[in-house]
Parts: sequence; C-alpha cells; structure tokens
Amino acid sequence: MSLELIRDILVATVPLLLIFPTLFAFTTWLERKALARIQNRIGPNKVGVPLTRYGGRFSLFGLGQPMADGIKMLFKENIVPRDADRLFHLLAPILALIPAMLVLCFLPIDFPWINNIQDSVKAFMLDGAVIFFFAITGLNTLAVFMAGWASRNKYSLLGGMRAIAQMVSYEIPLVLSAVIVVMMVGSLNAAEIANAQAGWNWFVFTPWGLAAFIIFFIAALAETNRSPFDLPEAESEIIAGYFTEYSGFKFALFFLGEYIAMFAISGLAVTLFLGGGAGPGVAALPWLSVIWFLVKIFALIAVMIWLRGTLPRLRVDQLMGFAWKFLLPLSILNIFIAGSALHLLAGDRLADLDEKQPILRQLMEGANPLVVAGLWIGALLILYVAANGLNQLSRAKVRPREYKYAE
Amino acid sequence: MTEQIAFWILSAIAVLGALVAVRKRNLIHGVFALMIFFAALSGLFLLLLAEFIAAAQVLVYIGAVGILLLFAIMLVLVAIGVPLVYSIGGAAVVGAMSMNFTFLPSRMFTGVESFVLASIPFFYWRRRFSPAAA
Amino acid sequence: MSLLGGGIFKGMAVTLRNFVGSYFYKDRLTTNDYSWRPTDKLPQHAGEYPKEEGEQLRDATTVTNYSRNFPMLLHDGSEPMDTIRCVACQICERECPPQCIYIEKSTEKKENAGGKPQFYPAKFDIDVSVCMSCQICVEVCPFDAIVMNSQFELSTPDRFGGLLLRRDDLLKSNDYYHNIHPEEAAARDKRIAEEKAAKEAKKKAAAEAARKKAEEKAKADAEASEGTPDIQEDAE
Repeated sequence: MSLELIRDILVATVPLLLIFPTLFAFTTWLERKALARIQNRIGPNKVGVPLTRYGGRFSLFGLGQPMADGIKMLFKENIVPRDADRLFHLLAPILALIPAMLVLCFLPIDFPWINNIQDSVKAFMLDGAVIFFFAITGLNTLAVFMAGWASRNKYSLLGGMRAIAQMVSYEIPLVLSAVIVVMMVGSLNAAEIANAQAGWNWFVFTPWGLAAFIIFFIAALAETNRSPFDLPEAESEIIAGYFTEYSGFKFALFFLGEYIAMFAISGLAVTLFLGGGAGPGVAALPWLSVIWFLVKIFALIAVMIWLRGTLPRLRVDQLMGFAWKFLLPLSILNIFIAGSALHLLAGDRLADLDEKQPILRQLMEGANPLVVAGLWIGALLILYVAANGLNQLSRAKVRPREYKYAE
Repeated sequence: MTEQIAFWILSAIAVLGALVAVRKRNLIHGVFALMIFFAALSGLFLLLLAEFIAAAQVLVYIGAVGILLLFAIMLVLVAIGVPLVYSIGGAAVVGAMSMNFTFLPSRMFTGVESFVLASIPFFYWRRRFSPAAA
Repeated sequence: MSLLGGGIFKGMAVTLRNFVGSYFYKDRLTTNDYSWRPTDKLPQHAGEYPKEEGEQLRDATTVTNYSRNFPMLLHDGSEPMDTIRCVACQICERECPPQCIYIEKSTEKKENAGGKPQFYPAKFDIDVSVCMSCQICVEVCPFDAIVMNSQFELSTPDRFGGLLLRRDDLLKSNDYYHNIHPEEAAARDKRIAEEKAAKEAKKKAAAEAARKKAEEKAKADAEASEGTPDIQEDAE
C-alpha cells in the first residue's frame, strides 16, 4: 500500500465528498425558493448568517437556511422506538447514503486534479462502469427495506414495501434505456461514452436516444422518489412512509442520500445522453468541461424541481401500471428500433467496424444523408405511434364521467 | 501485496457473513448477513479483474435475489423472530418459487398419479354409505 | 390527436409563468413579509403582555386588517371593567368546540355602559394553546362582546401559565378594534346602532299603540258613560 496509492485514492474521492454535499445544501435552498416562487410565495428569506443576532439584517436571500436546518437536525432528540431493531435502525440511513456517495466516483467529470493520478484509481475508467452504477443504486432498495423493517411499525413496513416495489419496477426501464447508449457506443466505459459525444454528437439528438432519455429521466424520478413518484415519502401517505420513525440526524442522512442520488442519476443521464462535459469552448479550455458537466446536472435538477412543482402525485397502482405497461414495452421497442436502425445504417459495412471506436460515429461518418434522414423520421414516427398506442392500452378502463347533479 | 490484503479481508467478511447468515435466529438479520456475503463475493470477483461479473453479482444477487428473499419472508411469515420450523417452511416456499416452472405441472401430475392415493375416497364413502355404520 | 404528454408541458408552462411572474408582479405573492423586529421589543417573560395599547398597535399594524389570531373582549370606554360588554352569559363557553374558555360569573350585578345592572365575568380565561380560532364564540355572542384580535407575538417560555390569557389581558377597547379591523368594526357598530334604533322604534311604536289603545278605551268609556244618562232621562 504505497503512499502514492493512498494519495491518489484521496485525491480521487475527497473532493467529491466536499463538492457534492455543498451542492446538496445549495440545492435544498434552491428547491425551496423555486417551489415557493412557483406557488406564488417567497421561500425562506430570513436566515442569513445563523447563530448571530444580525440574522435579519443580512439576510442574503435566505442562503443560510440549509446551515440552520443542518444545525437544527443535529440538535433534535434521537428517538428510537422501544421495540425497534437498534442496529438496523442505525444502519439504514448509512446504507442509504453509501451507494449514493459511492456512485459519484463513476461520473466522468474531468476534474483538473484527477489527471495526474494513476488510471487504476479512476473509477469511471472501469470497463463496466455503467453497469456498476446500476448495481450500486440497487443497494438503495436494501436500505429502504431495512428502514421500513427496523422501525417495527406496520405503516413504515408497508411504506417500505411500496417504495421497494416502485424502485425495483423502475430499475428495468432505467437499465434498458442505458442499453441503447451502450449499443451506440459499444462499450460500458463511462469515459468512452462521454468522449463519444464530443462536439455536438449528443445521443439525445438521435430519435431512439431522445426516447431513451425521456424514459431514463422518468425512471430516474421514480428511483429517487421524487415527485410525481414520491408516494413513499409524501406526508399525506402513511405519514412519511419508511422514514416515519427517524428523527434528527438520521432523517438528515436520508435526505442527504436522496439528494446525492438525484445528483448521481442526473450525472449518469448527462454522461449517457447529454454529452457529459461537451459544450462550446471545451477544446480551448479543458477545465470548461467540468463547468459544462455541472451546468447540465443543474439543468436536470432544475427540471426535476420544476416537475415537482407542477405535477400531482401518482397513486401506487397508477405508478406500477405506468412502469410495467408503458415504460417497459416502450424501452424494449426502443432497443429494437435502435438495433434495426444501426443495422440499416451499417448495411454491408458490418464486418469492418472497429469495435474499439464508438459504433454510431463510425456508421454516421460514411452514411448516405438521405438514408440517415429517412431512418430518423421513421424511427420518430414509429416511437410516437407506439407510445400513443401503449398509452391508450394502458389507460384505466373507465366510462366517461357522468355528472348526476352538476349541469 | 495490496491484492493479498484485500483478498484476505474480503474472504474473512464473506466467511463471517455466511456463518452469521446460517446461525442467526432472526431471519431478517440472516438475510442481511447473506447480502454482506454477496457483496464480499463481488469484491472477490473484482480482485480477479472480472468487472462485469462483479457488477452482475451485485445487481442480480443483492438487488434481485436478496430483495426476493426479503419479500418472500415478508409475505409468508407474519410474526417477527419466528421459530426455526416456520422459517424452514418459508424457505420451502422460496425454493418453490425459484424452481423451474415448466416442470411444475408434470411433477404435480406424477405426484398424484397413484392408485393408492386415489382409493382413499372409496374408503370414506364405504364407511359413510354402508348400512352397518348407521 | 394531441401531443403525448402535452398536458404535462402545458402544466410546466403555467408553472414557469408563475415562477417568472412572481418576480415582476409582486402583488400576487401571498406572503406578508413583516419587517424584522429587534429582539428587545418582544415580550421577554410570561405574562408580560404589552400593557398599553400603543405597543399592541405596533404589533397589529404589521398585519393586514383581515388577519385573525385569538379572541379578545371588548369594552366601550376608558375604564375597562365599567364598560365591559360581556355579561357572562356563558354561551361562548358552551359553544366553544375545544372548550378553551373558562368563565366564572360574578355574584352581584353592576351597572355597565348601557346603564343596566348586569353580571360581569369575574374570571374569563382563554387557553390559547387550545383555541383553534374558529370564531364560533364571536358568531354566537348576543352582546358583541367577544371579537377576534390579530396579535400574534404570544410566545412565552412557560407553556402552561404563559399561554392562558386572563380577563384583563383580553380586554381591549372598541377604538383598538376599529384600529385593527376597521371595516368589520364599522359594520358591527352600524349593526348595533341599527338594532338599537329598531328596538327604540319598536318601543316607541308599542308605546304609541298602547297610548292609542288607552285613548280609544277612554273614549269608548266616555261614550259609554255618556250614553246612560239619556236613557235615564227618557225613563223620567
């Protein structure tokens, strides 16, 4: 265990541990202000510099609110129900936080300090980085079950079961949408996927990539229990679901885990679909790619907050029906369409494709523009019609509403 | 050198996890120890530079099989901290659920295709409808 | 066929308009941002309610005149207990849903502002930790004695005694009521005056009717008594 290895490991991980919790604090503030403005009110605007008497004078638009919330959570009494499993009650929030934090390493953000360390420490250079990502976000379900079970509360358990069912059902469209990108690149390596979209060849601009991005985004909303899929943690549903019995800092850890998971999944979406660091000016200033990556993550987070302020909550049967009857067939169809499109694009060049290079780029280089246009339009049409059809099929079978007393 | 240390640590965790999994009285604790065992196995796969298998191990075993076990325990057992005999029954259900379903109807049929079994109703009817037993 | 997911986009457009509009059209914001008050002006100890109405006014004028918090008792003059409107009829105590009002009637009557001897409340306690501000007590009071106050700085470190408002804390003048809820107070005063005038008119009309009836009876008696001498004269 050489000193250099330890130094490399610390350089690779500690900045992430510092940057993302700070971004988390900023995001909680941003979410409360943005939601408030959407709902015609001002968000928190009193807390400027906490623990001083001048809180009101320098209110700084309420930027001290996350700090104040953190201090409040630390000071709260740590209540554990009498018959609860103490060990698992303690372990569950930790286990909810660890996968979210761990998965941040797999994002191919080219921080300047990372260039000088050895390649074996860079997690995103793993040849199976994308599938590791999904494997580790699957550990969230375990934490949720542990939280629901250890509280020794029927309602927490039911809430936990519903949450696990939701997470497990939405993992499938999530992974299947990522498969599209893997098909287009030919590798599971996150860095290669990000580099394959250099310039403006983002995968979201292909029709199957666009469909996959939308499916991925919806499934990501459901994985992190965000509105409109926040049934497990909404206050009007089974109190707070699986974290009813958590108070104080453990609740803060769950909260932190959820937001960091949001960052992680947005980061993956940016890597897979939105180019991951590609943007104007990157060729000249390499560190600009970090800025672009973070800007894109924040754009996705802003859309998540926007959706939270817009949409009502889905019921659990509507949620499950949406996953199994709409998203899953659509993502499978998407895979077929992407495969056939790639096949048609390749034509007879299939044999001399270089497997080490991104596949789509090679195919697009020597392709007939008419064929490409035709494939694009055809794929868009088929996907749209299929989505509409699936929507009609998976609608609840209800008669049109009859109003007996209203006119 | 670091690989050696990593190997011994991961193996120790794996063995400990497996031992705790079979010895624990509380079934849910046992399942969680089993998941620790799966995670350690995944680490061992990583040591062998088999990244895909490691990821698949976590994804399939912890993410799917583990959750399946937990759901099965939840749905089958009602009380918490059940005695061993009921947990064996639960395991039997889980085992049946993970079996190959294509053979299930034929096995069911061969199971009941027995003249001895089919003759049991006749004994009952004889007893019921015989005049001597009235 | 409309765009799939079009409803979601329309909704998102609405919320975006709301978001952007809340920066430009400030009057659509429902939050009432009261100015930050220095800590030395707030009540520091339990029971230390601002005694003069000037201090309360400073508190109350930072909210709109539609805001309500907890009830208060009204009096009509300068000396609260001489002009208190409440006659301890205990209707509000009975009607209060969480039963947070506790009234003890006085044992002897006293003259109030209207000149009539009435009972008065020896004790009138409202537990504001229980009161749910439903205003049922205001609705049922036949004497317009209890109305809603808008004072909100009631925090106290003592969670039992500090949140029990006694009669003297609850008594506020009608002028204060006009100050915090001008429209409602004016409407209430108008209604009281109209009822009083109607009562006066009815009394006068009843007096008129009674007088007229007495007059007619007297006339009838007079006519009756006048009629009999004629008969007697004929008989003679």
